[in-house]
Parts: sequence; structure tokens; C-alpha cells
Amino acid sequence: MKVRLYVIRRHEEWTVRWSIALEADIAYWRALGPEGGRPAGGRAMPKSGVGDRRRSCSGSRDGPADPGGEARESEARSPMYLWREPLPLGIAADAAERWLTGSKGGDIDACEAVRSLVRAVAAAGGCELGAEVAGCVELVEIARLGGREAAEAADAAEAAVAVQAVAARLSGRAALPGEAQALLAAGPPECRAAAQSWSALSAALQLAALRGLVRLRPAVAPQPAASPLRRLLPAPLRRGGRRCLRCGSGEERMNRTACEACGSSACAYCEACLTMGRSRECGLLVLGGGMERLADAPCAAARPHGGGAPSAPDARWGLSPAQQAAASAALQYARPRLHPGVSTRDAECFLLWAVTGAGKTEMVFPLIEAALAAGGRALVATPRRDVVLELDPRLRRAFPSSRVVTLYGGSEQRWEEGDITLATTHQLFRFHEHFQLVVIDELDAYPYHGDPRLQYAAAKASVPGGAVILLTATPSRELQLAARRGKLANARVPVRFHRHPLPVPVQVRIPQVAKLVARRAVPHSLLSRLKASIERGAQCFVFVQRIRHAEPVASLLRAALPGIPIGATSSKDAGRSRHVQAFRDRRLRVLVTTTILERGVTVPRSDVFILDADGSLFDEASLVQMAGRAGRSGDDPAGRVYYCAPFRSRSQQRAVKQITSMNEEAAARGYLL
Amino acid sequence: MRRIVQHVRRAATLLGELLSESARPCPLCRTPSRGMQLPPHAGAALPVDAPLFDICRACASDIPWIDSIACTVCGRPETCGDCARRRNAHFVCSRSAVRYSDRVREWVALFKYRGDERLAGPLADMLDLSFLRLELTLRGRVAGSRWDAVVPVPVSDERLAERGFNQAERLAALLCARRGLPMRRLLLRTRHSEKKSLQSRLARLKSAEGLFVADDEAVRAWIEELLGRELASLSADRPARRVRRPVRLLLVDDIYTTGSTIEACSEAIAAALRRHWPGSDLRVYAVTLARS
Repeated sequence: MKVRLYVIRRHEEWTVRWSIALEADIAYWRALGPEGGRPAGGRAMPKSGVGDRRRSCSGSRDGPADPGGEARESEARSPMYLWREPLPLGIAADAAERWLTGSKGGDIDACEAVRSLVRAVAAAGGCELGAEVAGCVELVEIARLGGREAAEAADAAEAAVAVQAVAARLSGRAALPGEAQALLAAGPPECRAAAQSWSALSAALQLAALRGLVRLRPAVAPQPAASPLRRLLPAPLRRGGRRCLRCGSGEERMNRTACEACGSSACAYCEACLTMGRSRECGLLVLGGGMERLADAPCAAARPHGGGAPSAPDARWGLSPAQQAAASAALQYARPRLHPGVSTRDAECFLLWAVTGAGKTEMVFPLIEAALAAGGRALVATPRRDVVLELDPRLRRAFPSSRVVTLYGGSEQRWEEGDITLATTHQLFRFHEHFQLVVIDELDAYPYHGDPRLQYAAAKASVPGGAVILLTATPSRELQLAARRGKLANARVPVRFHRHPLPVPVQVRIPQVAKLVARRAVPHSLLSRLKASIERGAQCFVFVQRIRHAEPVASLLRAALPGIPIGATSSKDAGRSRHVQAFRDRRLRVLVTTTILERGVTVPRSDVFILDADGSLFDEASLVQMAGRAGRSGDDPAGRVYYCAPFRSRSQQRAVKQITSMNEEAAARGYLL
Repeated sequence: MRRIVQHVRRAATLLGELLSESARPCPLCRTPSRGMQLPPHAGAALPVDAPLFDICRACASDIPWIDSIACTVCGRPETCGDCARRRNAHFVCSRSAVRYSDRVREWVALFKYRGDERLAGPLADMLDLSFLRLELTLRGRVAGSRWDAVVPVPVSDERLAERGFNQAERLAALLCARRGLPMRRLLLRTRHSEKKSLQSRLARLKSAEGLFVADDEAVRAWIEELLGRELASLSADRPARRVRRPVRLLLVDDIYTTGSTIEACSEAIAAALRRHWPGSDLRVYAVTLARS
């Protein structure tokens, strides 16, 4: 998209702005009374002192020479120096950043303001270096309405209401223009007019931006430069690379193509979040301002301000002692952050490291309760849709008086606002500084395994200084290290809800699956253990690395175990839910599967066999999660877990160590029965 | 000793795995892929230099190639009512590479609407095959194989600003780069019509009327280029000395549904040529990625 760039003088200050709807700016400046405040977001510099000579810069008119006249003049008119050509959004935004940076400060006159603008645009790549000022910039005199006229303008009042409504609707969100339009079209009547056409939408957004109610940004922006000196380098030389403001991805996820919307031959767009609409270098991202900025926002007043967050989890949640301890620690971290207006210095998260089957979800409930009591909003994000669908009724039962909104690709509640929002992690990117409490479940699950974007999204979705809780059974090595060194606030729940220790995996040496399938033979060490499990009445998970191994291994086992119903499934299996259900109902006794069933599945009385346990796809976290499928129910807590592989890999050893150390801690803390 | 052998064996398997799989994901379905050669059933008569790289086996087997043609005008695999009904067609014939199956619909949607431009490569490879098919057909009919212009069907300015690119132009550009053909943007869109995908068949047939005009300046420049001299010098009493061979023009679009778009484009170009170069013999052909 192309935008207009200008500098304007008002009273003592010069301001630089770029605009997606110039007529909105002009109307705004015209209506701004002499006592009106500076608009938010623009960059301003004080104008030159009255005594300075007014050199005749090309494009400007000579003003009167006497100081008194000039003062009068400055009240009636504001000179706006407008860049003649519409500029690509990214370049205009970059130029606005660079304008007057590195100037010596002090008072600026028109010439310098304009010259600096030309330099800034040149540095950003929008024009030639040393371009002539007259050719690039034109002067537009904004004759301001007198105070009374402005106040009486009827449409000004109406526009103000519409703008407030639009801003309220967009509050806390990060939206591309298409999304913003859909959001407004689904909103209250005052917003819908703005969604009718691009011209209406752009005017409304621009006006809201001028009032500081929303922020407009290029969706893909240059990485913030490490040092101020680098920032001064002209755009082509700066090696910072681009960063997507919506999902935080860097240069490696960008694709550059020729773009007709901005005329560039290498306009970058982000491939990482492409499924949610194109985040482009020349594209607009609308960031709703926080609720704090909307003084008269309707919802803010209605929020109940209870006595504040409770300090200990309520008994009604029925937490075990281990859960109680961890939840209290989390509450202690969260309490100071849940109160609006109290911003803490550190932007830290809290890690809740709970083993598989510890009852993570139940521990989150007291935190949500605390957030709601403090008048804030809570977000629970989890990677998988089925978990969202499973949690939804539980949340509604636990918090009957709160509005629960579930978001996932294709949910009908896409544009609704709730006290508790339950969403797939993908949806996190649509929010901006909106939640006082953000809980990220299964931080390391596919597809965000090892992806720093998720933490970016979590930080972005929470209000500055809000509480961010990371919930997982298998934190990454970086997180583990940070926790151990005391850099990351954390609490561990080393024991399962039923208070029995975790089953410790046994390592069994067998050849690779590919070899087994080729030889059509099942090794005795594996077969005997499978038989033992089946005889003791357990269901057997058999994990394989590759989708293409699932069915062959299943048929191999069918031949080796006649009479036992054996199934296979994977992400490519169309009847996956059917197979899983059959497995739960015990119509299948053995299920050969890939890591698709690594998490979230609870099948009582089950044993786990992991083949190719030394493979590259099974890292420490994956092995721990798979092992966690066994022994989850109270009546069969001693499920059996086998890591079957030709070699003992590091990840296997680490996984075993993690499990045993958790058991040791649980014993030491007296949590075990 | 055994330990060492074990480790070496393990390293060897890992290395083997690494070498056999390229790291780049298949642009059509996002899974890691290997380079893929054309499946043999796509046409033994086609030249070998028509490979499809970078897509995975699963997607390659999903491509619904059009193997046999029932209608020689529009290249449809079934008998064609539209062509029989069309009088005074302004284009000679059209060929498409694939049927507009659900998967192709998905891929085109990803490219066009979601803006995933990495799909341009594989889709252009498919288009290339329809081009080759056309060439094969024409080799029998018309002597001389030079193409005077490849013209992509334009989109409206609004769509262009919204999407940032014209999908037909992207595919055409890749085709021209590979085959060494001249691309000329000779057409303009007069108005912004509703998305064709949302229109009924009748509405589509009607909506294409008057939708395209030729860009006069571009047409003039092109004609001058062809003739190698100023158009002004071509006057009524000094007609061109030799009978020029026919002007061959190729239209490129993504989907051929009713043919009304191709027809309207051909008409517009024919009208422009009548204006600027009376007496020229224009033959318009078309290639599209998919035939619905």
C-alpha cells in the first residue's frame, strides 16, 4: 500500500506523520483548536524561534516579518509540507523514524524540517539522494477553523463517536486491513459504516491513529537496530533484515517478490504467518491501543473491581498438595501483575513445570480466578484444537458468570470479546497487549517446537507487565537452564495427580524398524514384552517415527500376535478419530502410531513401546511425552514403558534422567503415597 | 572395537538420511520433499525438458493431467457445448494442462488468494506442459513456430493493489523465461468485475463482454517492433511488400471455464489490430493452467 508522508507545524512544534487517508488528517488538523493537545504518535520538534530569519525555501511562501504577526499567523494556519508522490508504507514509516534523528536539537525552521524529510526518505530508499526539495515536496496550508466553529461542526461529533467505537472494537488486537474490516463489520452499528469500503475504513483508522487510539504500523518492519548508530545507516546498507510485527519471525521466514501495490521489486512478506493473511512490508498492521487509553471506553467501567486477587488457591478447586504448592507460587508471581496500572519492571514469565498427568489444567483455574477478580482478562492458549474443544465446557462450568470465548481456525466466535479467551496458539498473533493473564499450554508442542515466536506472541498478547505463565511437562533446554539458574521464576509439580511415581522407561535393544519390516520378523525381546502387556490386560501404544512405517509394523505385529486386534494410525489417516476411539473402547488392543498421539491422550491401563527410540524425530521432550501416556489412571499407575532402539542415544538417557529426577524430587518433598 | 563400528554405522545411516532428502519443503503441501520427475503417463511424446522439480511424490501423483482431448477448440477432455455454441470465435484454440480438480483448486487458491508466491514455480511448470501440448498440436497445422507475443489476461487495478500481483502474469513470465518468448502486456481491464468464482455460468458469459480493451500505446509499440519500422510509413498506397505470415499471439490465464474471458481478450486485440494494422492476419491461441 502507498501512503502520504508529511511534516506539519503547529504552534511551537513540527510533527512528522504518514497517512493512509490524507483527507482525514487534513480534517483533523483543521478542526484542532489552538488549545488542543499534540496528536499521539507523530514525532515533533520545536519550531524555530520567532526572531529567526525565514529563508525562502522552495515551495514555501515568505511570511510576514514581524513577530506579532507571525504568532497570529501560526494560530490561523499550519503549513504542511506534503511529499508529492505516495510512498510505499514501509518506506514512509522508516523515513518518519529517521526524520530529524541525529539533529543537534534546538529550534527547527521550515527549511530544515523539509530538508531533513528529504534526507530521511532518501535514506529509507524512497527517492534519490540529493533530490531537489521542490520536486518532492509541496506546501499545503491548513486553515484552521476557529474554536467555536470546530466545536459546532456536527459531523465532528458523529465522527468522534464512530472513531471511539472503532477503536474500542479494535482494542487489544493486531489486525491486517482485511481482518480489521471483518472485525468492524461484525461489530456494533457505529462500526459497521466504517467497514463498508476501504475509503471509509482508512479514514476511520487514520482518525483513530491521530487521536492515539490505535497504532498503525508496517506489518513487516526493519529489525530494531542494535545500536543507534546503525539506525542512521541508509536502508540498503543496514543489514538488520526484516521482522514480521505480527508473529515475530525474522529474515529467514521472509519471501521477497515484486509487488504492484508498492512498486517494489523485492517487497518482503512473512511466510510463517501466511495462513492468517499476508503480512507485507508495504502492508498495514493495525494495533489496537490498550484499554487504558480509552478513557471513556464502555467496558472498562463495567469491570468489577473485587477486593483483589486471592493469595492462595481456593479449596474448591480440589488440588493435591503438590498442585497446591505450585499454584500458590504461580499466584504469588501473578498477583502484582494482575492489577491494572501497576507495571512491574521485569517482563518475565513464570514456568510451571508439571509432569505428564499432573493435572496442569486444574492448576490454571485459580490463576484465572485471580485474574478475573482483579478485573482483568485471561487467555489460555494451547496448540491443538481438540484440547480447546475439550477445555471449553470445563471452563464454562468452572466460571459460570464469565464470558468464555473459544477461538480456533473456523470458530464462529472469531470476533467476540470475552473475559476468558480460549484459543489455539495460532490465534495468539491476532492480539496485542490485551490480556492481563496469558497461559500458554504445551509450550513446546508442534508446530512451535523450539520456536521463539511463541514467546514473542505471548509477550505481545499480554499487557505490558502482565502475567505470562508457561505450562509444560517438557520445557526446552534453554528454559530448564534459566530455571535452574534462577533467571526464570518457576514451580515444579513432580508428581501425578494420583500420587504414584512416573513409570521409568526400560531400554530394550532391537534393530531399526526399517530392518524389521524388511526382514518381516519381530525380535523376541519385543514380542515377549508385548505379550506380557497384553496378558496383564493393558492397551499397547506402539510409536514409530515415520508415517509410512505405521501400517507395515501393524501388519507385522498382526502376523506375530494372531487373534489380537491391532490398528495403525497417523496424521495422514483419515479415520484417525475412529481408530483412537476403538483403542479407547478396547476394540483394538494395540495401536501403532506416530507422534500425533504423543500428547493429550489419556487411555487407562496402557503400556508404551517406542520403536526407533534413537531416531532424530524423538528428542528428549518427545520421549518424555510418549512415556507419559502410560500409568495415568489411578487404578493402574504402574504402566510399563519401553524405549526400543539399536543404540542408546543421548536423548533417551536424558529422558530417563528427567523422569527419575522428578520421581526423586516427588519422594523428597513427600508427595508420593 | 564393536562400539566404534556401532558409531560408524550410525553416522553412516544419518548421513544417508541427510543426503537423500532435500531440506526444502514441497511448496504445494509443505512437507519435506525430493526432486520429482514427471510421471510417465503425462505424455510419452512430450520432450524430456519438461520436468517438475521441488514437489513431493504425493502432490505429483495428485496432479490431474489432461491426457486426451475431446474438443479440439478448447482442449477439454469431454465434448464441448460452449465451443459448439460460440459463433465467430476470435481465438483459434486453447489448451490446458490439468483439470480443475479440488487439489488444483486448492493450489490456485493458495497462490491467488492467500498470496503464497512460492507456488508460482510448480504451477508454471504445469502451464509449461499445456504450452508444449499446444506446440505439438500446431506443429502439424501451421508452418513456422515463432510466437509474436505472450499476453497475460490482466486483473483490475483494485485487485492488483489488493493482491500485489497478477497471477496470470506471474505464470506467463515464468513460461516466457523458460521458453524464450516475448511477453507483452497488451490488454487492460476496463472495470472491476465481481470475482468470477462467485458467478453463475450465465453471469460469467455476460460479464466478460466489454471487460477488456487493448492498450493502444502498447499495441502500437509492439507492431512497430514486429515490422521493424515506423507504422506511419505504412500507408494505403504503399502496402507491405510481402504477404506477411500470420501474427501469432498467445494468451495466458489461470483457469478456463466458459472461454468467455479468452474470447473477450481475443476480440479486444483483434479490434486493436484492425485499427492500427489493417490487413494483418491475426491468430490468437491460449494456454491456461486448468480447465474446469
